[in-house]
Amino acid sequence: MGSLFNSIEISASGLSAQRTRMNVISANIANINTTRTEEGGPYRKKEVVFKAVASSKFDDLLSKSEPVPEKVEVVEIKESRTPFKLIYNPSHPDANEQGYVQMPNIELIEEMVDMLSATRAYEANVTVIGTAKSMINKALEISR
Amino acid sequence: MADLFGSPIKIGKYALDLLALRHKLIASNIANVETPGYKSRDVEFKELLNDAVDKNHQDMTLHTTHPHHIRPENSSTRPLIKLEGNSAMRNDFNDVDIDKELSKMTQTAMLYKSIVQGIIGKLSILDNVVKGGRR
Repeated sequence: MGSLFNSIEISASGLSAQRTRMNVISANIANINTTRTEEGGPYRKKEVVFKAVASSKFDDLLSKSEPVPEKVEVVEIKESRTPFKLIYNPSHPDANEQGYVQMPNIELIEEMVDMLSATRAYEANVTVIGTAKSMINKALEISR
Repeated sequence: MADLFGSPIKIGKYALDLLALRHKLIASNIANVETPGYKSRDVEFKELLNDAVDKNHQDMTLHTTHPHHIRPENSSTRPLIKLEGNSAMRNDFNDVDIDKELSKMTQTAMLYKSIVQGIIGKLSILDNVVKGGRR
Protein backbone atom coordinates (compact mmCIF):
# COMPACT_ATOMS: atom_id res chain seq x y z
CA MET A 1 0.00 0.00 0.00
CA GLY A 2 2.99 2.25 0.54
CA SER A 3 3.48 2.15 -3.17
CA LEU A 4 -0.01 3.54 -3.64
CA PHE A 5 0.73 6.53 -1.41
CA ASN A 6 3.80 7.03 -3.52
CA SER A 7 1.72 7.11 -6.69
CA ILE A 8 -0.47 9.82 -5.15
CA GLU A 9 2.72 11.78 -4.54
CA ILE A 10 3.80 11.33 -8.16
CA SER A 11 0.42 12.49 -9.46
CA ALA A 12 0.57 15.46 -7.11
CA SER A 13 3.84 16.48 -8.74
CA GLY A 14 2.02 16.30 -12.07
CA LEU A 15 -0.79 18.48 -10.72
CA SER A 16 1.54 21.19 -9.49
CA ALA A 17 3.57 21.10 -12.71
CA GLN A 18 0.44 21.55 -14.83
CA ARG A 19 -0.79 24.30 -12.52
CA THR A 20 2.50 26.16 -12.92
CA ARG A 21 2.14 25.78 -16.68
CA MET A 22 -1.39 27.16 -16.45
CA ASN A 23 -0.11 30.16 -14.46
CA VAL A 24 2.51 30.87 -17.10
CA ILE A 25 -0.12 30.61 -19.86
CA SER A 26 -2.41 33.07 -18.10
CA ALA A 27 0.52 35.45 -17.62
CA ASN A 28 1.19 35.21 -21.37
CA ILE A 29 -2.43 35.85 -22.29
CA ALA A 30 -2.72 38.73 -19.81
CA ASN A 31 0.35 40.37 -21.35
CA ILE A 32 -0.58 39.86 -24.97
CA ASN A 33 -0.52 43.63 -25.62
CA THR A 34 2.19 44.67 -23.15
CA THR A 35 4.79 46.84 -24.86
CA ARG A 36 6.79 47.96 -21.82
CA THR A 37 8.59 45.72 -19.32
CA GLU A 38 11.22 46.31 -16.65
CA GLU A 39 13.95 44.86 -18.89
CA GLY A 40 12.82 47.23 -21.62
CA GLY A 41 11.03 46.30 -24.83
CA PRO A 42 7.79 44.39 -25.13
CA TYR A 43 6.82 41.33 -23.06
CA ARG A 44 8.41 38.04 -24.11
CA LYS A 45 6.39 34.84 -24.15
CA LYS A 46 7.33 32.54 -21.25
CA GLU A 47 7.50 28.75 -21.47
CA VAL A 48 7.82 26.09 -18.77
CA VAL A 49 10.42 23.34 -19.03
CA PHE A 50 9.39 19.97 -17.54
CA LYS A 51 11.90 17.44 -16.28
CA ALA A 52 11.40 13.89 -15.00
CA VAL A 53 13.11 13.24 -11.65
CA ALA A 54 13.33 9.92 -9.76
CA SER A 55 10.50 9.78 -7.25
CA SER A 56 12.68 8.90 -4.25
CA LYS A 57 16.26 8.10 -3.34
CA PHE A 58 15.11 4.69 -2.11
CA ASP A 59 13.85 3.68 -5.52
CA ASP A 60 17.20 4.68 -6.96
CA LEU A 61 19.08 2.40 -4.63
CA LEU A 62 16.67 -0.46 -5.16
CA SER A 63 17.04 -0.57 -8.89
CA LYS A 64 20.12 1.10 -10.30
CA SER A 65 19.99 -0.31 -13.77
CA GLU A 66 16.23 -0.41 -14.28
CA PRO A 67 14.04 2.56 -15.12
CA VAL A 68 12.26 3.89 -12.02
CA PRO A 69 8.97 5.73 -11.63
CA GLU A 70 9.56 9.42 -11.94
CA LYS A 71 7.93 12.60 -10.73
CA VAL A 72 7.70 15.64 -12.95
CA GLU A 73 9.19 18.97 -12.03
CA VAL A 74 9.22 22.44 -13.55
CA VAL A 75 12.95 23.11 -13.73
CA GLU A 76 12.87 26.40 -15.54
CA ILE A 77 10.59 29.05 -16.95
CA LYS A 78 12.23 30.18 -20.15
CA GLU A 79 11.60 33.18 -22.35
CA SER A 80 10.75 32.33 -25.93
CA ARG A 81 13.31 33.69 -28.40
CA THR A 82 10.95 34.00 -31.35
CA PRO A 83 11.01 37.51 -32.89
CA PHE A 84 8.54 40.20 -31.80
CA LYS A 85 5.61 40.99 -34.03
CA LEU A 86 5.72 44.33 -35.83
CA ILE A 87 2.37 46.08 -36.06
CA TYR A 88 1.79 49.31 -38.00
CA ASN A 89 0.15 51.72 -35.59
CA PRO A 90 1.64 55.25 -35.81
CA SER A 91 -0.61 56.63 -33.07
CA HIS A 92 0.81 54.21 -30.49
CA PRO A 93 3.14 55.97 -27.96
CA ASP A 94 5.77 53.22 -28.42
CA ALA A 95 5.78 53.37 -32.23
CA ASN A 96 9.14 53.94 -33.95
CA GLU A 97 9.83 56.59 -36.64
CA GLN A 98 8.31 54.40 -39.36
CA GLY A 99 5.14 53.99 -37.29
CA TYR A 100 5.70 50.34 -36.33
CA VAL A 101 5.16 49.02 -32.80
CA GLN A 102 6.95 45.93 -31.48
CA MET A 103 4.33 43.65 -29.92
CA PRO A 104 4.91 40.57 -27.71
CA ASN A 105 5.73 37.28 -29.51
CA ILE A 106 2.56 35.62 -28.23
CA GLU A 107 0.10 33.75 -30.43
CA LEU A 108 -3.29 33.61 -28.74
CA ILE A 109 -4.26 30.37 -30.49
CA GLU A 110 -1.06 28.67 -29.35
CA GLU A 111 -1.77 29.69 -25.78
CA MET A 112 -5.33 28.40 -26.01
CA VAL A 113 -4.14 25.02 -27.28
CA ASP A 114 -1.53 24.84 -24.52
CA MET A 115 -4.17 25.74 -21.97
CA LEU A 116 -6.42 22.94 -23.17
CA SER A 117 -3.65 20.39 -23.02
CA ALA A 118 -2.66 21.57 -19.52
CA THR A 119 -6.28 21.16 -18.37
CA ARG A 120 -6.49 17.65 -19.80
CA ALA A 121 -3.17 16.60 -18.26
CA TYR A 122 -4.32 18.01 -14.92
CA GLU A 123 -7.57 16.03 -15.12
CA ALA A 124 -5.70 12.83 -15.97
CA ASN A 125 -3.58 13.24 -12.85
CA VAL A 126 -6.68 13.86 -10.74
CA THR A 127 -8.16 10.60 -12.10
CA VAL A 128 -5.04 8.69 -11.10
CA ILE A 129 -5.26 10.06 -7.56
CA GLY A 130 -8.93 9.06 -7.43
CA THR A 131 -8.12 5.48 -8.42
CA ALA A 132 -5.28 5.24 -5.91
CA LYS A 133 -7.67 6.46 -3.24
CA SER A 134 -10.30 3.86 -4.10
CA MET A 135 -7.65 1.11 -4.14
CA ILE A 136 -6.40 2.15 -0.69
CA ASN A 137 -9.95 2.24 0.66
CA LYS A 138 -10.58 -1.23 -0.70
CA ALA A 139 -7.38 -2.54 0.87
CA LEU A 140 -8.48 -1.11 4.22
CA GLU A 141 -11.57 -3.31 4.07
CA ILE A 142 -9.33 -6.34 4.73
CA SER A 143 -9.00 -5.26 8.34
CA ARG A 144 -12.71 -5.00 8.88
CA MET B 1 -4.51 -27.28 8.10
CA ALA B 2 -0.78 -26.86 7.61
CA ASP B 3 -1.58 -24.18 5.09
CA LEU B 4 -3.92 -22.11 7.21
CA PHE B 5 -2.60 -18.70 6.22
CA GLY B 6 -0.73 -20.19 3.32
CA SER B 7 -0.37 -19.70 -0.35
CA PRO B 8 -3.60 -17.98 -1.45
CA ILE B 9 -3.03 -15.06 0.89
CA LYS B 10 0.70 -15.00 0.16
CA ILE B 11 0.14 -14.96 -3.59
CA GLY B 12 -2.59 -12.39 -3.13
CA LYS B 13 -0.26 -10.14 -1.17
CA TYR B 14 2.40 -10.49 -3.82
CA ALA B 15 -0.10 -9.65 -6.55
CA LEU B 16 -1.30 -6.61 -4.60
CA ASP B 17 2.27 -5.37 -4.23
CA LEU B 18 2.85 -5.78 -7.95
CA LEU B 19 -0.39 -4.04 -8.84
CA ALA B 20 0.43 -1.17 -6.52
CA LEU B 21 3.82 -0.83 -8.18
CA ARG B 22 2.15 -0.90 -11.57
CA HIS B 23 -0.20 1.85 -10.48
CA LYS B 24 2.78 3.89 -9.37
CA LEU B 25 4.40 3.49 -12.78
CA ILE B 26 1.17 4.54 -14.48
CA ALA B 27 1.05 7.60 -12.21
CA SER B 28 4.61 8.37 -13.24
CA ASN B 29 3.75 7.98 -16.93
CA ILE B 30 0.73 10.25 -16.67
CA ALA B 31 2.55 12.87 -14.60
CA ASN B 32 5.20 12.99 -17.33
CA VAL B 33 2.81 13.15 -20.27
CA GLU B 34 4.32 16.50 -21.33
CA THR B 35 7.96 15.88 -20.38
CA PRO B 36 10.22 15.89 -23.45
CA GLY B 37 12.13 12.65 -23.94
CA TYR B 38 10.27 10.69 -21.27
CA LYS B 39 9.76 6.99 -22.05
CA SER B 40 6.78 5.21 -20.53
CA ARG B 41 7.45 2.22 -18.31
CA ASP B 42 5.60 -0.79 -17.04
CA VAL B 43 6.21 -3.82 -14.86
CA GLU B 44 6.58 -7.37 -16.20
CA PHE B 45 3.38 -8.40 -14.54
CA LYS B 46 2.06 -11.76 -15.69
CA GLU B 47 5.43 -13.44 -15.95
CA LEU B 48 6.33 -12.44 -12.42
CA LEU B 49 3.10 -13.58 -10.90
CA ASN B 50 3.37 -16.94 -12.62
CA ASP B 51 6.86 -17.25 -11.18
CA ALA B 52 5.54 -16.50 -7.73
CA VAL B 53 2.80 -19.10 -8.05
CA ASP B 54 5.32 -21.68 -9.25
CA LYS B 55 7.62 -20.87 -6.38
CA ASN B 56 4.87 -21.40 -3.93
CA HIS B 57 4.31 -24.92 -5.17
CA GLN B 58 7.89 -26.04 -5.27
CA ASP B 59 10.69 -24.89 -3.10
CA MET B 60 13.13 -23.15 -5.39
CA THR B 61 15.47 -21.64 -2.84
CA LEU B 62 19.16 -21.57 -3.64
CA HIS B 63 21.13 -24.32 -1.91
CA THR B 64 24.10 -23.30 0.17
CA THR B 65 26.95 -25.48 1.35
CA HIS B 66 27.80 -23.52 4.49
CA PRO B 67 25.50 -22.02 7.14
CA HIS B 68 27.23 -18.63 6.82
CA HIS B 69 26.58 -18.33 3.12
CA ILE B 70 24.20 -15.59 2.21
CA ARG B 71 20.83 -16.78 0.95
CA PRO B 72 19.43 -14.51 -1.67
CA GLU B 73 15.85 -14.34 -0.51
CA ASN B 74 13.22 -13.90 -3.15
CA SER B 75 15.73 -12.18 -5.37
CA SER B 76 14.31 -13.75 -8.49
CA THR B 77 10.79 -12.47 -7.90
CA ARG B 78 11.82 -8.85 -7.56
CA PRO B 79 9.62 -6.92 -9.96
CA LEU B 80 11.22 -5.98 -13.23
CA ILE B 81 10.51 -2.53 -14.51
CA LYS B 82 10.90 -2.13 -18.23
CA LEU B 83 10.39 0.56 -20.79
CA GLU B 84 7.23 0.02 -22.74
CA GLY B 85 8.83 0.82 -26.06
CA ASN B 86 5.86 2.46 -27.75
CA SER B 87 6.76 4.09 -31.00
CA ALA B 88 6.99 7.79 -30.30
CA MET B 89 4.91 9.84 -32.69
CA ARG B 90 5.69 13.21 -31.18
CA ASN B 91 8.42 15.71 -31.86
CA ASP B 92 9.68 15.70 -28.28
CA PHE B 93 10.37 11.91 -28.26
CA ASN B 94 7.89 11.37 -25.44
CA ASP B 95 6.11 8.06 -26.02
CA VAL B 96 3.37 8.17 -23.34
CA ASP B 97 0.02 7.05 -24.74
CA ILE B 98 -2.52 8.62 -22.40
CA ASP B 99 -5.48 6.46 -23.47
CA LYS B 100 -3.47 3.30 -23.00
CA GLU B 101 -2.29 4.45 -19.59
CA LEU B 102 -5.78 5.32 -18.39
CA SER B 103 -7.24 2.00 -19.51
CA LYS B 104 -4.32 0.17 -17.93
CA MET B 105 -4.99 2.07 -14.73
CA THR B 106 -8.66 1.06 -14.69
CA GLN B 107 -7.67 -2.57 -15.26
CA THR B 108 -5.10 -2.40 -12.49
CA ALA B 109 -7.58 -0.92 -10.04
CA MET B 110 -10.28 -3.50 -10.86
CA LEU B 111 -7.82 -6.36 -10.49
CA TYR B 112 -6.52 -4.91 -7.23
CA LYS B 113 -10.00 -4.62 -5.80
CA SER B 114 -11.01 -8.11 -6.85
CA ILE B 115 -7.87 -9.61 -5.28
CA VAL B 116 -8.60 -7.70 -2.07
CA GLN B 117 -12.10 -9.11 -2.20
CA GLY B 118 -10.64 -12.60 -2.59
CA ILE B 119 -8.43 -12.12 0.45
CA ILE B 120 -11.41 -10.85 2.44
CA GLY B 121 -13.32 -13.99 1.44
CA LYS B 122 -10.47 -16.26 2.44
CA LEU B 123 -10.14 -14.47 5.78
CA SER B 124 -13.84 -14.73 6.49
CA ILE B 125 -13.64 -18.49 5.94
CA LEU B 126 -10.77 -18.62 8.42
CA ASP B 127 -12.80 -16.47 10.80
CA ASN B 128 -15.62 -18.98 10.57
CA VAL B 129 -13.24 -21.85 11.27
CA VAL B 130 -11.70 -20.09 14.27
CA LYS B 131 -15.11 -19.47 15.78
CA GLY B 132 -16.11 -23.08 15.16
CA GLY B 133 -19.04 -22.12 13.01
CA ARG B 134 -20.71 -20.18 15.83
CA ARG B 135 -21.49 -16.55 15.45
